[in-house]
Amino acid sequence: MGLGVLGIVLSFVLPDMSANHYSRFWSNLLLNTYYFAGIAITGLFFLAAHQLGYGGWHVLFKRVPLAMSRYLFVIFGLVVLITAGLLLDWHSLYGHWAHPHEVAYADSGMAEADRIVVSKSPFLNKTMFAVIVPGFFLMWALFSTAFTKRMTFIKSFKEYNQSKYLSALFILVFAVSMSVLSWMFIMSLDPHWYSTLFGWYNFASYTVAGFSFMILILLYLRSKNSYPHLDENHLHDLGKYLFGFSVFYTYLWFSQYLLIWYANIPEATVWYTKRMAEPLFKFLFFFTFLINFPLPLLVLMRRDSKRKLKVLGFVAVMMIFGHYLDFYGLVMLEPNAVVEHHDDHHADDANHDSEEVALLSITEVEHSDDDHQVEGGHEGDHHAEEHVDHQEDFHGEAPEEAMAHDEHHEEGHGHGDGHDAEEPATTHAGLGFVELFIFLGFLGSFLFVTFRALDRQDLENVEDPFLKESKHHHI
Amino acid sequence: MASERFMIGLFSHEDNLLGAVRALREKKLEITDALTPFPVHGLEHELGYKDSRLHTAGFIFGLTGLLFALTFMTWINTYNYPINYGGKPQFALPSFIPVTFELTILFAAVGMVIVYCVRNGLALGRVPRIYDDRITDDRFALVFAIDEKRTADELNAIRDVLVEHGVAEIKAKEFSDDDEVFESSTIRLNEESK
Repeated sequence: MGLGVLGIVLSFVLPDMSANHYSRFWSNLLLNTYYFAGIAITGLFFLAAHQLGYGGWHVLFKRVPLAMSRYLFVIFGLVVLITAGLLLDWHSLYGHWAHPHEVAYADSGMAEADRIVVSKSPFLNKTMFAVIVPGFFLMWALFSTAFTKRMTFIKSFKEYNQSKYLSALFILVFAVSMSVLSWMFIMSLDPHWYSTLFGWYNFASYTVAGFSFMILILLYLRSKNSYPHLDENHLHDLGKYLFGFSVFYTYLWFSQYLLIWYANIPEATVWYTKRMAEPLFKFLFFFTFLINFPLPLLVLMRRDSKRKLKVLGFVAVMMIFGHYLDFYGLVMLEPNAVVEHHDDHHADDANHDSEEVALLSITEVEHSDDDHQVEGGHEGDHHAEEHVDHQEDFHGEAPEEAMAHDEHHEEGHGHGDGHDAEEPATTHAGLGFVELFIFLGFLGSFLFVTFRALDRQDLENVEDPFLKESKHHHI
Repeated sequence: MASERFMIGLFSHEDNLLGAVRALREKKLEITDALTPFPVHGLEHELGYKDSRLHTAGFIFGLTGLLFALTFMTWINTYNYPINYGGKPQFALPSFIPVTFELTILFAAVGMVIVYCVRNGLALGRVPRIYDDRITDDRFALVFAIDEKRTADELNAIRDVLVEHGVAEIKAKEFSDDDEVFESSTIRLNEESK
């Protein structure tokens, strides 16, 4: 816990010295806020689903998911901070659509891509963001309070049945709000791109992480003898969730990839092409897949390995890192993108204070023949043919070409201390101590809030009508 | 003509059956089979059964389906009959995945069903051995094979344990090779125990 608090302090000090335009700090903040919001909301989802499904086996450790969801109040505060940053121009996370003068370029014929932003502007504007995003997070946090009040100490079947209404309401609200939030909060980082199953994809990803946290917290409490009746039967069931949601995650991960790959629509493929062009993100793309699918599939498939608590704990830790890296790939590329005059697809990018560079890039775009699909949707016929050629070597040629195109390319590894705005690199995103400390900071505060909430009352509710069933859970 | 004989103890309550199983296992008396109208909780544990190996068979079948689908599609698309679909590469791995996935499941599922049926004597054309008509209704049966390995003392010991645990009925049954069935003896005991 002390380490976590130290991490918070360091994370707020370090980025000030190192990051460019603070975008590294803000994007890390956004990433971890979203990730831990997902983990916290998984607690509520878990409870609501079991309440509606007449589940009784989880009653024994019901307070753990409840306590996890208490972190949503911290999340709400951070979301308000991010929203305020958007409104007051503290950061350029959503620079693609949030800065009007960039949208204005659309009329000068710069790029079709910006017309996409204009067409989305009835939904994707600052007012809507300021209302919807904090509003939905506040709603989640209030649901956490309602769940805590109604479900912590259920004493009779009457109260149990009443809590079903709350659960049903939550499931309905959650299904809509988590999709809308994922569009507005994360997908809008790159508003030229859209994926219809993005919300589910995000949901599956953070649910795996949420179950991992639940398993690890229970393992910890069990090692402290806080739960004498908790045995490998309960953890086996949680392990099944971990296994099942990992497969579900991969199903969505692959569905998104397959459809985009097969349809070959420029404005859809741009998302993958950009990531393939970055060595760090290309590595992460395959690495997260390997961690998040084959590992849990092959390790957790056997019944025994779900019942061996060390194996289960190991997989849970790997899942937490795997899905952190998954969200890293989703979030970090765009906000840290650098405006460059010789890298076409970043011409219309984030940093609003470099208008001149952006203007330069307009002329570049007009003369350049190499602006394959990354430009987004506006190619003529001859471009479309060329586009197919490029697509054929989706994994191989395109990234290399992009790299050759950009000779001063930097990987963005390490601490990020040495990056100046003048240095040409397609992204400042890196995995270094800054990321580690901010992650640890969030982790520490998450565990702090969770365990403080757990400390407040007894871990078991002796009057719950389902407690006996839960204690004798046997599979 | 060869034939197999069985001693069958019929219980009218699952708890009595579980108690008898426990006692028999303690005395190291071998139980050939236990038949109940519904799954009795913890019975397989009391009988000392090991985990079913069916899932291992399922894994192997699934792996077979996966390799079959991948190699077959690769062979067709790259060697046997290559067609250019929308400029996609010949070896278009992402588009193979759904078919591979489906075939993996198909092979695993069908394979497991077949293995299950064969292992449990449910293969086509096989006449099932019915130890008692009421084991699909309200009787819980323990079956003991009577063969050269089983001594008369053992049989008596088994009978004692069964009676001790409130068996409702003990009978012997013989199945001959041509599936002709005849019952030999039936001992009715305390019918209304519980």
